[in-house]
Amino acid sequence: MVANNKITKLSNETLLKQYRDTEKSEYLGELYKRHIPLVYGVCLKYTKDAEAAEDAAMQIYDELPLKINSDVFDSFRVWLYSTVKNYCVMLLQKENRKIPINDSDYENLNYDDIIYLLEKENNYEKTKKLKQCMEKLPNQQRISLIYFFMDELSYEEISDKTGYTLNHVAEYIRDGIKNLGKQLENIK
Amino acid sequence: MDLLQYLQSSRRGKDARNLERESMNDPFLADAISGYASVDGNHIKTIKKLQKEIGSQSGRAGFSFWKLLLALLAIALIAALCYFVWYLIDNHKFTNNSGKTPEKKTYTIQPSVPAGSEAFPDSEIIDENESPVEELHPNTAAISVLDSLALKAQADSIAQARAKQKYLDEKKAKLAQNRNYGEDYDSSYYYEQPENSATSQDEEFSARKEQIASSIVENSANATPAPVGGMGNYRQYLDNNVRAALVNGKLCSGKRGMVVLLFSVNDGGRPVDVSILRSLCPEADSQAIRMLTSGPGWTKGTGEVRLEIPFYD
Repeated sequence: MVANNKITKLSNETLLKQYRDTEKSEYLGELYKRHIPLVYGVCLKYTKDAEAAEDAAMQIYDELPLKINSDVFDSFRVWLYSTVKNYCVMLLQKENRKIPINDSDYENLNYDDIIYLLEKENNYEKTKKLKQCMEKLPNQQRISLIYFFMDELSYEEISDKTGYTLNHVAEYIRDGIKNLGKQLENIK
Repeated sequence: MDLLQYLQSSRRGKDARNLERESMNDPFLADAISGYASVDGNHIKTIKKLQKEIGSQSGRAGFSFWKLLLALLAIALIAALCYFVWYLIDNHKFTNNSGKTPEKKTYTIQPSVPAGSEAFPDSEIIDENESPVEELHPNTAAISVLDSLALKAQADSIAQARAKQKYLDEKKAKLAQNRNYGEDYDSSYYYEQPENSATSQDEEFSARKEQIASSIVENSANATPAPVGGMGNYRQYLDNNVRAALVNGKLCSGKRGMVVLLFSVNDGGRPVDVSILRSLCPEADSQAIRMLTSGPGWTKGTGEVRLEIPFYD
């Protein structure tokens, strides 16, 4: 049995490799432990229930050894994310519940250039084109974008100022970026 | 700052904001942050509890001897019990009721009949048990003055759909016997017929489709949403994506079939509230949902839309 403190110092890649070579569950356990905040969070998003999310997180861990040997992947993290999602979708489907649409489902659309623009300009009033497009956005989206990118506030701080819920702040920022992209396209 | 630190903090300040900024390029992180914001509870406590549980589960190698002993003891006990029961049966000729039949896993089909779904006769194909006459009960919305005409057209189209279904079933049975994709195999029957199809059967079908659509639907606002650009193009989009998904042969461990989704369309023309009416396997289901949400928009309308996405080579 490998000493505990030694294991915690190993990198994720090493842990995965060691697990594949030795099949000792300590390596897989340590690797999964590090990802629990992410896994549990995603389970919460889908199940909307703390207890169900907890069960899901443990169940996913139980099924990991089987999947990890049969699936081929480059990045453990990316693979783990889709494994967690698939499990949650299956859970919801069993209970005939609605499946939340993920922003990640839109992953083929790239808004890096819009975000770059928002981060480059430190005053949205100065650039005429940007100002015009921002004014066309719904209030909540425009306000959230300004607070997040220009003033660099966090979701919680934006929520303090506006009263929007955290998830709404994230949604307004996301939708604001998409709409801004469309507006900028129209102006060209 | 990592996610756990973020959760333990007040989520204010530069570090928190930077993590949120990171999440814009990291869907795993974004989903997790969204999850924590959606549900109340002492999440830190649960995270620590989970980590402890995983830690103790995986570190039990030192106690494996006792685990083995316990397992052997349990097996011995069970064996003794079985022998005892067999002894009783043998001696007293005690008839034993066999165990319950295992519950079949059924996928419940939503009771609501999507308004205007009669306009898409292909979608009738899967629900073998639906009776056409019962469907046309006042349940369906917006039945116009031409009720009787609609009823007849409906019955005709469903009879035709059943005939088509029978043909499909026979074909599937043949396919199941020998996976021979020779001249027998006509993949077009698994997809909606394109508008300019040459076969007379399909011309009849299209004609009936128009008849039903015009008689049942009052105005476009009450129609079932349809893909912007038309169903033909949408089918092509789905087809291309399914083909891409099947390319390495690993999806669903080779299993093939249909994923059926049910969803509504919001004011923005995007699908929302997705349910899976028929599942193929979790990976295919996720793919199907992803195709739906990333794909072309839908025209506005009322009622839910039912979409079949075939996963066949």
